[in-house]
Amino acid sequence: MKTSNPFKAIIGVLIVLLTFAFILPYFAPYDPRRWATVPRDQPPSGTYRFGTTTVGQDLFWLSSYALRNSITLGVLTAFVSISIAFLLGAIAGFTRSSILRHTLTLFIDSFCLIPGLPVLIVLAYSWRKYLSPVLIALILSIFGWAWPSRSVRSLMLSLRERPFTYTALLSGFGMIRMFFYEYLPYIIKWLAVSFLGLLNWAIGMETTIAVFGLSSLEEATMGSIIFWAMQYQAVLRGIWWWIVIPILILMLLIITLYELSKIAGELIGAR
Amino acid sequence: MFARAFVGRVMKGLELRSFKLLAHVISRLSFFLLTVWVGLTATFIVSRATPIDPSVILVSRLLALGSHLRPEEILAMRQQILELYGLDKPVYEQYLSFIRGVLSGNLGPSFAFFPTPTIDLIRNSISWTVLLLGFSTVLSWIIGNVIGVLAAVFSRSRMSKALEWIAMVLYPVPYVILAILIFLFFSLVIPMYRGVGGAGMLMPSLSVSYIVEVLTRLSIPALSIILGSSASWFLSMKALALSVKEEDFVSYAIIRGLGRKVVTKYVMRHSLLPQITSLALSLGYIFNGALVTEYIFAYPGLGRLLYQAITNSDYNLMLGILSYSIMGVALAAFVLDLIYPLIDPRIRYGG
Amino acid sequence: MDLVLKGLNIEGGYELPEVYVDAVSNVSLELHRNEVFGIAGESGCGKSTLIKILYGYVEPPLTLKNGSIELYTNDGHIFNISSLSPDELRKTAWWRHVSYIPQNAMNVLNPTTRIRNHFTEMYSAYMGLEKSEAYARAQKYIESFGLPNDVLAAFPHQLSGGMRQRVVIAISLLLEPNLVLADEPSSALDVINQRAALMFLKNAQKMLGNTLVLVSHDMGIQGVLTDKIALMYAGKIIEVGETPAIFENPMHPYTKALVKSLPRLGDKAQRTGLKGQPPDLKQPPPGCRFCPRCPYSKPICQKEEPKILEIERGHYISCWLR
Repeated sequence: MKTSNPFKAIIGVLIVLLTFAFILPYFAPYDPRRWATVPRDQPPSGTYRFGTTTVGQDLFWLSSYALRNSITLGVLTAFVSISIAFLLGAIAGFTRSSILRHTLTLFIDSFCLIPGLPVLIVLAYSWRKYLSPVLIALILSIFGWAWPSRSVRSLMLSLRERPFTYTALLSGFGMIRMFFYEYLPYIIKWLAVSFLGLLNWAIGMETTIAVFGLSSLEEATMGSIIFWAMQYQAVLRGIWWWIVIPILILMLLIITLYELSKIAGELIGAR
Repeated sequence: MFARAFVGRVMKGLELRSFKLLAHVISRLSFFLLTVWVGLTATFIVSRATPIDPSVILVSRLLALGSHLRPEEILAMRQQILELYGLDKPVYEQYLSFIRGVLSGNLGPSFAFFPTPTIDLIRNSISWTVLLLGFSTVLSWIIGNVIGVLAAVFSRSRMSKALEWIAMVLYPVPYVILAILIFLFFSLVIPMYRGVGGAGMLMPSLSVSYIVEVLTRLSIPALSIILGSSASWFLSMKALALSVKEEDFVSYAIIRGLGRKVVTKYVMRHSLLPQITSLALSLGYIFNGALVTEYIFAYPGLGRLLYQAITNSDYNLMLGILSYSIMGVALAAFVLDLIYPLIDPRIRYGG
Repeated sequence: MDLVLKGLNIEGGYELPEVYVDAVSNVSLELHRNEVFGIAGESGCGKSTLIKILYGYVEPPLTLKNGSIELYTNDGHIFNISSLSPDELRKTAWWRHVSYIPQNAMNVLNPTTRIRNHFTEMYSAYMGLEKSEAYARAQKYIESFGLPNDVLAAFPHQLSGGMRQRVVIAISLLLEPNLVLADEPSSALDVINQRAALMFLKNAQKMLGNTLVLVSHDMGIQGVLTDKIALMYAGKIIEVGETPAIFENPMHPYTKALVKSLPRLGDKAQRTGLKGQPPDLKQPPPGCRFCPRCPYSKPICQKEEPKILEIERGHYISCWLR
């Protein structure tokens, strides 16, 4: 395990964020989602560390709550997407049938090309009444799997062509044993990097859809905070903290996850 | 055997010198058709597999606008919608009429601006989106790739490493956040925000003042897209160019004493090829970014139209935007794919 | 001046993350005008590395630890290749006085550039010629080699392997350098193309009267084309001599075994090879590097590196026997 300074810093920031998201909400003195719990439009101060919103919410506790939702949603999306990606990509990479491989490749590529945002927006709009973080995650997964699937496919293709695959097959190794002993390190590395990448993508996508006003109505996410801030003209009215703070938190989270994925890519180096 | 002879005949007839070229065109054409088909089918599924009833939406929308409708009129309207969506017919007939409608440009009326056809609304917005998208994409692709190659050739310089750090901060940030940040910057920090998008009050013309006006209003949202995209192209190009640098023909150029300029040219030409392919496939992702950027900056393109459609519950317009977005992106990718052989002599003159 | 290149005590190798590979150890040689000098040996003996060092193309992880290499030009100028950086060499000696035909020459042409541009780039870089003039020059040049005219308009992938090889050879002779270093200029070709490419090279050398260094593991090629041969083993030169002498009277045990293993017309005796492998150059053995495989080794061979002996005029070996 690398214990260099950048790595420590990144892990540190991540721990702070995760604590903020998952441990802190239990200590909230009130339900942060409810309106009119605290004085409106207060700038950040000692009492209200992140300030308050125009509808009377404490931004500090609200952010903590929303971050939890955003991360959970992201993790769920990443998980579902990566499963689909792995399944389709592995078939596309491993199959001997060239018709299947070509069709599947074209299919995967078409999902990469199709602009997902409009589709997701229309979907989210249609199911507005039922939107919950879980449903949003499932909806996002419809497009999340495409790009990772491409990289699984090329990973599988390259693994399949390696000399030791042929020699192993010839010398009687069972496919499953070979899979575990030889391929696993590469696959784990790929999984780590892709999962983090997907997580970032999902958080970004959820924020985007929320900013269009299509997030969950009851639950708060980082994106929905920004949406409401924009709805209430926060910037024009000088209530800058309502938008800036969630953005800073998001950027911190996303950049940290990205750095982590880079490190994961280098750490689990190929033999 | 027989197929070979047939293909040879076709090629002779079209005066194509390269089999590879023909194969390339056919392959990309089939990809284009497949993508459009998958996309439109997905749109169809989304539009039918919903818990909402479009006719109800339309009626409630009109009522909300304060129009007083007699019961017969409501019925007639609902009937119109029913016919439009073919909800009384079997699914495959609905599907076929949907596809036919999209391809012929007949999508029905907008719910919010009833009875204006949605196609008219889309047509007005799409040119603005193409302008923003084209401008930002081309600029960021060029900037990112050129700087990326230079950073790879001079990989040991401090500037190269500094640029990489900057790119690694910009790259993972989603377009929506970048757009908001730029928006905040130009509203709060440097109030340059005169009004964005379109051309204000000016009438379309080819005059210099019109063009200047369009470009100035275009610049801030374009900046937002360019920052994010350039970083992405920079990172991928730098990595690519570094590996191309290791290839035999590059070291042969060095051995021949051809100097940094020629070597850079070699690396760049060779690395640009995969970057074009990459661009063609990434168009969907970049389009997403353009949509949200337009919304944040209230730029009169499809992004803002889409947001209006959402707030106005204009379901039909949403579907229209969705269909044409997919076809537009697929078409743009196809055009890029056709340009590729012009630059790669191995395909253009391949055996 | 008859001397073209003098290399003394060249030590070079590859600096890898945790180890140094001693690829060329204490090599000295002299190259004279108008001769074809062969460097022979099995794969991994260091011939390609030596050639790169002689050319001065020393880019990490390759390093030159010790030694001096001096290039003598026709007009009395001396270039100290070992002390000049690639950038300096590029401006002074490269291609004008010494050129290089790399291994894998078939694939060193730029796939996205036409052949004629390969030539015009050189003309414009070295002679400052305009494109049109460079085109004309290139055309005449190609014709003087007997290569077909339409080669210039083609892209590398449109030409056969043999043709590409000949183009690379032609490029190397563009500025008529004193010294041409050719690293395995024909290994990737089939036998017929091999012969064509090599005769091409040899004829050019005869025409220009320069010095050609021919690196090849193929003793058949060495026998036909060269005037002198130096044999390398595990980074060291173990025998140098005129080609006929090497084949008829090999002195070093390695050379003896090598020559014996070559098929000869009419000789139906069974061929034997040497047992064993060359030593690992990350940890080279002390003493003579061939000792572990040598059928004649004495105790001293293991401890001390043999000195260089002159057996007869112009015929040297590095061995304790004698």
